Amino acid sequence: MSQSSRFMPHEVPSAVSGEANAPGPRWARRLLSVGVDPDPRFSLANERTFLAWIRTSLGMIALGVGIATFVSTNAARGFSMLVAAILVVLGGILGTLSWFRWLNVERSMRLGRGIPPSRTAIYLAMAISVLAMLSLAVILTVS
Amino acid sequence: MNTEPDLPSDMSTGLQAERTSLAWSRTLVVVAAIFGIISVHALVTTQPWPLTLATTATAAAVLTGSTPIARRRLDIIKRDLHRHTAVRAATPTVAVSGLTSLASILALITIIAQSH
Repeated sequence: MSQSSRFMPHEVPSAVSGEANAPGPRWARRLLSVGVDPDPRFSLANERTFLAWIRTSLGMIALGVGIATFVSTNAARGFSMLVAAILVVLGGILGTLSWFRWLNVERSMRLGRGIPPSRTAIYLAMAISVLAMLSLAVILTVS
Repeated sequence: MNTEPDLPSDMSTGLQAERTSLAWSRTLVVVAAIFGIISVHALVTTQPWPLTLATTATAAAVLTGSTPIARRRLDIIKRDLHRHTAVRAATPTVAVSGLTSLASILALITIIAQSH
């Protein structure tokens, strides 16, 4: 089994379980006071994945605002505003869910478990597909 | 057959700190851009001036702070790696997640106000 295919607790003397060794401020220690310090590379990868999710959610918000900005001359104004609002709300929800995902993965790594499965990407893809199909239908109807 | 190379025995972190710091830079620039877009949208659709001012100020603050924040993140990660302690990310992740939610709320307010 490859070493990188499983979580390896960071093998240093200070890596013991308990609140005293958990990272961050008090509220973070409360949330992360389990298990042992994971390999820092996994923690950093988790952090970068969180940031990628945040950028995805920001992209959705930008798309929503963009649609709302350029909709003034569009015949399907109501639908466009609805799509814009849905995208913005989805972006906000995704931004919040990203943090909980980061927390879950961090806790799993501290406990030496595998990464918990996430359905967020599937739901996101489905939501975008539905919005795209509805938008296409409206564009074809209006034109 | 497993073709994945084995990791170095000293658990070297290589350029991980730098990559993470750059990811923070990118994200903060995008955050600033989003607040800028919301600000322009609020201006174009003649929203109340406090909303425009708040979004513009947030965009400027995030853009100005993006480089120092990313630099500080790099220093903290390097320090944690050097001390062999867990990498601390709870506070910055909460902050950027909160900023994203704030951007979403402000964008929704401008869209709702525009549609009325």
